[in-house]
Amino acid sequence: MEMEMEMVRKKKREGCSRGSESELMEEEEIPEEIIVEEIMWRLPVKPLARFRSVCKTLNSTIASDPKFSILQLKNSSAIRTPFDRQRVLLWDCRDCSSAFFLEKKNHQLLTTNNSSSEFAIEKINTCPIKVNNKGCSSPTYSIVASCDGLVCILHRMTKSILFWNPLTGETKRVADPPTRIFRFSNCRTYGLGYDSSADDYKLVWINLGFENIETGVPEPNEVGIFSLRTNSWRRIQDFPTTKLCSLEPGVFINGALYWTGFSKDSPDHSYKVVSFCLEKEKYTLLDIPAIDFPLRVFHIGIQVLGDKLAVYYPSNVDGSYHLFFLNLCDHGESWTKHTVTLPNRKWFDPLCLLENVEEVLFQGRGGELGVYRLTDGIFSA
Amino acid sequence: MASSIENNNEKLTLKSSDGEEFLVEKHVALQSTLLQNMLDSDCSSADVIPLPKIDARTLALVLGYCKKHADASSSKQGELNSFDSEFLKDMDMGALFNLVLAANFMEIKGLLDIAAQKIADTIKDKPHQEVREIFHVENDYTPEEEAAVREENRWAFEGFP
Repeated sequence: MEMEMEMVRKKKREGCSRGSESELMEEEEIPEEIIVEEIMWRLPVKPLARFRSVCKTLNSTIASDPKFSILQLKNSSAIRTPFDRQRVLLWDCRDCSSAFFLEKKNHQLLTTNNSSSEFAIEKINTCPIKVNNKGCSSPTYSIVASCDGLVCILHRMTKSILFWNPLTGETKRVADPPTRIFRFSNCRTYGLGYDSSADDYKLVWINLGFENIETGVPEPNEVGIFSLRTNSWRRIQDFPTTKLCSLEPGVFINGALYWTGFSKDSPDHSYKVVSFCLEKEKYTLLDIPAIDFPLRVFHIGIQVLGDKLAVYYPSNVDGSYHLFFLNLCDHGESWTKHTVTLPNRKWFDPLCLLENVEEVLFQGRGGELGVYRLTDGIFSA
Repeated sequence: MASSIENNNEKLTLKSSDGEEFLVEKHVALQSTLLQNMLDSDCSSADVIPLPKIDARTLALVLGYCKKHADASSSKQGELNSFDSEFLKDMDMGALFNLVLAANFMEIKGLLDIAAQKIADTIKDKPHQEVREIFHVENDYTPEEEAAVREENRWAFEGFP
């Protein structure tokens, strides 16, 4: 470790132990292992890419030290929006000072600076493969999930899967999902998350079963899990709800993936958050608070905002949105409710919590952005 | 001397690198995992615990942080957060380095986190040349190598020298 971290020092100082009020010109020394192990990994991706130019040690640490990248990734929180929109939000940095998007139109990776109000977008990197076929209604490749900036891309025809790290440009093609352990369904969803106990990224692939037309009995929701570390697939316990509210990939926070779903034979207050713990590979169901549930189930959305899970749906009474933050503690769960009044009853989905931890950035279905302030409930476009 | 320790058994004395002594309440000192381990393993029989790497100015800051965090009830997280940001406000890089080193040595995780994060936040918008200066790191690239690494990460350099 020491050797890896060896850096050439410009200045060596001795006897720095004098009181420093009178030593304003005195520059302090900081050991290289502290720089790397305590400071650099707290930086967002973009300055890190720039600081590869500082010196060779830093370059090799940032680019290839797996321990370093895991620390850095753990410090950033993964968020994403569904892949059928103009821009796919891949991930944001720890403090939400920058978010990364893949623009589907020209498959460019973009970043926004949403700490300012300007949301300036600039090109930062280009996806190694074309995510969309030009002029083709069914894209050949699609992004199925992302976590910590690691992007999982699926070839729709061959079902081959590619992992892409946009920071390093590295790609990894993974073992094909085994048709032996589960059938291919066109109705499926995914989730990608990090299991810290195994130091492993795991991709969850859920095939949603249909109801048998004659008997009305639903087929099981088969689930396969892929481990990036072992490069192998396994079939695991079936997904517990009959239906999912959407085919958007599950959101990842605190070692678990989350989807929203419901059971068809339950009354309408039975909408559930389904969580899947990546370490134990176990499902847990939580009730979603019912105020005035929307008429259509696919209106129930789920997102990670800051360090909390949030569930949201439009009111069926007026044009407002109900937004609930999940608080998990030892005694069970509770929800903090917000009512968001949106302009012109437009569709907006929450993207992320802004740096001040008081405002939620919303994206309209037309790509427009708005900000909801949690403290006073004001929404501004 | 032993009797004075018994009289003050809720307090201990820390000595900075430049010889200044600080009388610290035990519950404040427990914010430091290093001191906690020393107390647990009964190593505190010495009258004074020397901290040879930490100067008086830094130690005073560290103990101020520990006192605030030891005294605050856990329900007042918001108050602690504003204390933390006020605590680091206007602190120069040298003082931050000293705090990181002290927190690392004394194993005070909360302080290490906020001070290291403050350094990261300060350097994130700076050009890499300036980061070299701040960390006193020598540029060991040849001009050709540096140009190549920069080209590889060109996207990150927009607006930077």
